[in-house]
Amino acid sequence: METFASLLHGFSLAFTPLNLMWCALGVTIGTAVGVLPGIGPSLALALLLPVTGNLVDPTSAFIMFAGIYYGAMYGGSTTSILLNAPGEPSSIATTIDGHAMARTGRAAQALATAAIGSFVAGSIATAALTFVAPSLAKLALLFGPAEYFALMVVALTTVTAVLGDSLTRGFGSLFFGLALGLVGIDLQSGQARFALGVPELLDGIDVVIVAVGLLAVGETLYAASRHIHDGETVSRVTGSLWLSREDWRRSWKPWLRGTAIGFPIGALPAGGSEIPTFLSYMTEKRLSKNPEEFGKGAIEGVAGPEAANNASAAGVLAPLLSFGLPTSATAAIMLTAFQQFGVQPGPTLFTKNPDLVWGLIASLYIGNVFLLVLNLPLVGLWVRLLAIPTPWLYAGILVFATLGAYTLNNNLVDLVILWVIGIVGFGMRVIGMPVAPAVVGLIIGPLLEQQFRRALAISQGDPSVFVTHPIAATLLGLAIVLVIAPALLRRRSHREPAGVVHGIV
Amino acid sequence: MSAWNAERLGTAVIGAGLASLGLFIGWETTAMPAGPAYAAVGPRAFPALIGIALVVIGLLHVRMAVRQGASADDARYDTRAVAWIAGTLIVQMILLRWVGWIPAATLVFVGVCRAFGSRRPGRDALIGVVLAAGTFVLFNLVLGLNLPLGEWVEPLRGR
Repeated sequence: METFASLLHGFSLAFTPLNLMWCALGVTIGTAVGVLPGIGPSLALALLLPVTGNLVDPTSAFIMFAGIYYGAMYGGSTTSILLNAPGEPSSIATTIDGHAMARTGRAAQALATAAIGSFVAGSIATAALTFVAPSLAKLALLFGPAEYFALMVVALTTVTAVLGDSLTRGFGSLFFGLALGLVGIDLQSGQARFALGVPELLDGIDVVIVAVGLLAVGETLYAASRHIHDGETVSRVTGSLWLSREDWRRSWKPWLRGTAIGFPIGALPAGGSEIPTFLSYMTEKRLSKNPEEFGKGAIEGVAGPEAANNASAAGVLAPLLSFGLPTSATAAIMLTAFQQFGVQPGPTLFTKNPDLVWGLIASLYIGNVFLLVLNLPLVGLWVRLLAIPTPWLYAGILVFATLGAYTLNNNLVDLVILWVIGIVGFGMRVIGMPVAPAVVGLIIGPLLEQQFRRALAISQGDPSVFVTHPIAATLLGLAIVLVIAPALLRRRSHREPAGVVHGIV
Repeated sequence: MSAWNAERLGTAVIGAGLASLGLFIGWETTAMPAGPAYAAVGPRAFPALIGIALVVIGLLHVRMAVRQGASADDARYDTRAVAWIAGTLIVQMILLRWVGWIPAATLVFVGVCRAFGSRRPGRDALIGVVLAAGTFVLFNLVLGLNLPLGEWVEPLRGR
C-alpha cells in the first residue's frame, strides 16, 4: 500500500523533536485563539504568516499551521459552552445546548463530550483525508484549465451562497474580493492594472492585509461600537470531567454521525463548517427520543456538532491539498502560505513535495492527541484566558494586526490599506455582509482569471469550451443550481425568521 | 418613510461604494492597452466582467436600502468609539517611523482601551508598553523582523 508507506514516512518526519515542538506550539496557539473571542484561526494564521517566512522550513511551518487550524476548532467549543459566545461561526450550533448544559451545572460534561467528540471525529476524518486526498489528486490530473475554472466558480458560489442569508450581500463581498485581486501586474501580459501609480501596489494587495483588516480591524471596530464589553459571565466548571456511562451512551452515536456528516461536506468545494454543524444538530434533534430536551442541555446537541465541526475541518484540507482550492477563509490563508513558501498545492504536490504533505498529514494525527490532552485535563487553564478584560483583548489584537501588516513589507502603504479595509469590514459587519467571500475571492480571483484565459487560449477564443467539456459543464451547472436553489428555498420559507448564521463571518 | 437606521444607511453606502468601484474599474480598463493581438483574451476581459458585476450588485444594494421598510433592527452604534480607534490608527501611521514601534504600539493599545470604555489610561499604558516592548524584542531580536526603533533614537546610537 503506497499510501501507508507514505504515511509512515510522514510520521518519521513529524516525530522529530523539532517538529513535535512545532506541532505542540501550533495546537497551543490554536486552542488559545479558539478560546479567545474575537480571534479565529484565519486571523491567527494571517498574523503568523509574515513571521514564519524567514524562520522555519515549509514542513515545520505547515505542521504548526495545521496545529493552529485543528486547535482553534477544539478551543472554540470552550468559549461557546462557558461564555455563550461562539468564537467561530462553526461553534454556533454547539452554543445552543452547550451553554444550556453549563447553566445547569453540567459544563464539565459538555466540555468533555466536545473534546472527546472532536478527538474521535478529528482522528477518523484525518484517516479519511489520508486516503481521499491522494485519490483526489489523481482525479485533479484530469482537469484542464476549463475544468479548473469551473471548479473554482463552484467553490466561489458555494462560499458566497451558503454564508449569510442574502445572496446579494454575499456576492457584494465576493466581487469586492475579486476586484482587490485585480490590483497589480497582470502575470500573463505584464500589464500593470489598478495600481494607481503606487509602486507598492504593483505586487498586488496582500491577502494577509485584507484578512487582518476585515477580521481584526473590522471586528474590533464593530465590537467597540456595540459596547460588547459589558461583563459576560463565565460559567464555572465544577466536578469531574469524566463522562458518566449514560453520557457515553448518548454521545458516541452523535460523534460518529457528526463525523459522517462533517467530512464529506467539508471536502466538497462547499466551504466552511457552518452547514455540517447545523445539519448534525438538526439530525440529532430529529433522531432523539426526547427532542424537547434540545435547547435545554441535550448532550447529543453538543456531541454531534462538535464532531461535525472537526471532521469538516479535516475535509476542507482535501480540496486544498489535492486541487489547490481553498473553500474557507482559513484555507485561503493556508494557500497563501503555500505560495509564500513557493509550494504549489494541487495534484503535483504529492509527487513534488511528499515530505511536506505527508509530514503535514501525519502531524494532524499527532496534533489530535495533543489536543485531547490540552482540552480535557488542562481545560481549566484555558478558562482563565476568558478572564482577560475585553478592552485589553481587542487592544492586543489591534497591536498584533498593525504589527503583522507593517512587517509584511516594512511599508506604511500596507497600514493605510489595512485601515481602509478595516473601515470597509466594519461597514460589512453592520449590514450583515459576510467577509469570508471577499477573502476567498481575493485569493482565488487571480487563479480564476489565469485558468479562464488559458482555457480560452487553448480553444483559440471559443467560449464554448466551458460547455462542451463534460466535467466543466457539469460543474458550472452545479454552480448555477447552488445559486438558484437556496434563493428558491428562501422564498418559500420567507416568513421564517432570518437564518441563525446571519451576519457572521 | 421610515427612519434610516444604520443597516439601511450602511447598505446604501456600501452599495454606492461597490457601484463606484465597478465604474472605476470599467474606466481604468478602457484606458488600458489591449495586450498582444495573438492573445485570445487580454488583460482587459476579466476586469471588465468584474466591473460590470460590481455596478449591478452595487445598484442592487442601493435598491435594497431604498425599498427596505421600517426594520425591527434599531441597533445603535457608538460612532465615537469607532472614531477613537480609527483616529488612533492614523496617528500610529504618522508617528510609527519617527517615534518607533514601542511608543506607537502603546498608543494604539491605550486608544483602543479608551474606545472600549476603559477609564484607567495609566494602567492600560503600562500593559501596552510591556506588550509593545515585548513584541519589539521578540520580533526584531529573535525572529529577525524590522519593526522601527524610531528616527529620533537612531542618532543617539552614534552610528
